Amino acid sequence: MREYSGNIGKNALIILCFLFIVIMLLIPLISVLAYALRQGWAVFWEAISDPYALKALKLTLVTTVWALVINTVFGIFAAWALTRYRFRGQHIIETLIDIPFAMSPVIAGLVFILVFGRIGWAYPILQQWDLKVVFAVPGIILATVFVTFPFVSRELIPLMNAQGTDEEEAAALMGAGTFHIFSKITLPHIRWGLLYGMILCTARALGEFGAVSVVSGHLRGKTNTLPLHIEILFSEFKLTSAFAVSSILVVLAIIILILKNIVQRKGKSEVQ
Amino acid sequence: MFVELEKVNKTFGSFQALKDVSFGIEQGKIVGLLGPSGSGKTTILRSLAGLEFPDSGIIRIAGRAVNDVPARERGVGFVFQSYALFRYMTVFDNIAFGLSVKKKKNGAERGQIPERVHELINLVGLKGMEKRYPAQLSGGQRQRVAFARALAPQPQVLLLDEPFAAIDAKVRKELRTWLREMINRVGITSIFVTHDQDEAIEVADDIVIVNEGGIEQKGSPAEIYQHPATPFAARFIGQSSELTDYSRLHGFLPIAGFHQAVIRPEFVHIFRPDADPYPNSTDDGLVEQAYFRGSVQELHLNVCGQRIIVNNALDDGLLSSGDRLRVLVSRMFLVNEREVRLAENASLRDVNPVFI
Repeated sequence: MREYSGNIGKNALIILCFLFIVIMLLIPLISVLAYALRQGWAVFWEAISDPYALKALKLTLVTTVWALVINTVFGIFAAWALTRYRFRGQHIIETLIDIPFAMSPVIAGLVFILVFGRIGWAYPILQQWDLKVVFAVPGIILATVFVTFPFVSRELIPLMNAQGTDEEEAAALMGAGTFHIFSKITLPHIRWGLLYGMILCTARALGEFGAVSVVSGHLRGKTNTLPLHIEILFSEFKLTSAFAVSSILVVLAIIILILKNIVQRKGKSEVQ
Repeated sequence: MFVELEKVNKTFGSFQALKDVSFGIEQGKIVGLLGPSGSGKTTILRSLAGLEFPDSGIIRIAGRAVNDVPARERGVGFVFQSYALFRYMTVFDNIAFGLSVKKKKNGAERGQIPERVHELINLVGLKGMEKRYPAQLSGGQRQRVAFARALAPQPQVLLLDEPFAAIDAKVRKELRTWLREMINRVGITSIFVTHDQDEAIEVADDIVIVNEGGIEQKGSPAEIYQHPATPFAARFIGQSSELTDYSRLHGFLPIAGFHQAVIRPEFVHIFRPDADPYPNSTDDGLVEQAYFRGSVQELHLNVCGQRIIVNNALDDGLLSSGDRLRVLVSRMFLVNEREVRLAENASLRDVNPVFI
């Protein structure tokens, strides 16, 4: 590289990167924590031990677990189907998986209102079974699942394509059943990628705002997730509380970041 | 016949991969499916294994039609081109895999697995490598593991897909001999796929030549080499030159219906112009290209305006391009779209009449 960019160019690029990250990412994060603690620990503690905040945290965690489980199972199925079989419409499905990445989450939320809400075609059916989706927890979970849908399968598809089907065919020829093949041959190969996808899915699910905001209805203590709760606090000018509760999400994000790094490193060392 | 295909057809989309494929294999033989890439030979192998299912026709193994029998119940061992060793398992676990799957279904024979695995590891000469992972083995060692793993569940038929393709040239020759010895020692009916005629000739008892989804010829390597049954077989086996105007050579008359000739290097003899023992049967030849091949020299000759390839045994030293020679073609295969006919040099017969 040196021949045509030189050390000046290299150093300038590195400094630029650092500056950008510090200004755009690090300073805002630090100011969240600083603002949260501005009025001392007592106020901070009061804000995050507020029953509504705790309920919001609980709902966020429940939603995340649901989204994670559903998307992990489905992601494995989708990756398996797309990499292990050849069928008509394969490319269409592969493209459709990416819809949540391409579409604004607000639209995703609106879609669920259109389907399950009072004006939706599925509303009468839900009524019969006495089920509530929109403005209730199931709607929040659905919206989160939608938004975090591609993470696991997107991680797995390239991995499984690279692995090929030879080993699985070899195992099948020797009489191994599908589950045996998956757990003994496929899973060891994809486990770090799978974990990585699950971590990304978790991170996104914890912070999802747009789609959830549309379907939630903002019922305090009932359908408020942590990001929604923060938004309400903020719009009520309870800035210190808003930032205090935000700091929970920031800490969770940092934990996830560390986990992600460990998993990535493990996966890399295994490849070698 | 121990393994038999009867009028097997298979299409992938609009591509007909197999067309009315029929042939049989005797028990205990090693058979090579030889053909260019895309000829359908791997599809035949995968159909036998149960990894592909033919559209029509019957496949029999040990007298039983296996069309509807799933792969795992066919009693076939399969060695993949890439070996497909389980990369997250040790050599021992790789070989034990098939046995442990079987054990789960039978219940008994639990204690015998380690014994059988060690027996196989000894057989293929990998003692002391039980705990290694495939990534820690050389290409040749991987092939040995793949072979042992395929044999572990005691299959009736062993199928090998391009078994030497992933190995470097130097080890390949050694492994051919090794594989042949192993198969003979175990006595298992084996079918392997290859595009390399040397490999087929060296390893196989019988060769099946596959082309464009059909069988061209089946026979022993000698039969196939000496008596090609189809134009394709004549062209594919041996390093041959093809002539369109064969009647310009001394001693060959044009025969109606045959417009092309295939000449093997061993059909051609070269002499220095001053030492030509058959002056009435030879033509002038000019060396156009000379390639040094180690034990021989491959010459591309221009004889009557046509290219003929011949190997120079180096007894009289190296030749170089521009050298003039006398060339005797003793025989050739005349081919058209459907037939092959052997033609002898007529002038040679006249010069050396044999009266009894």
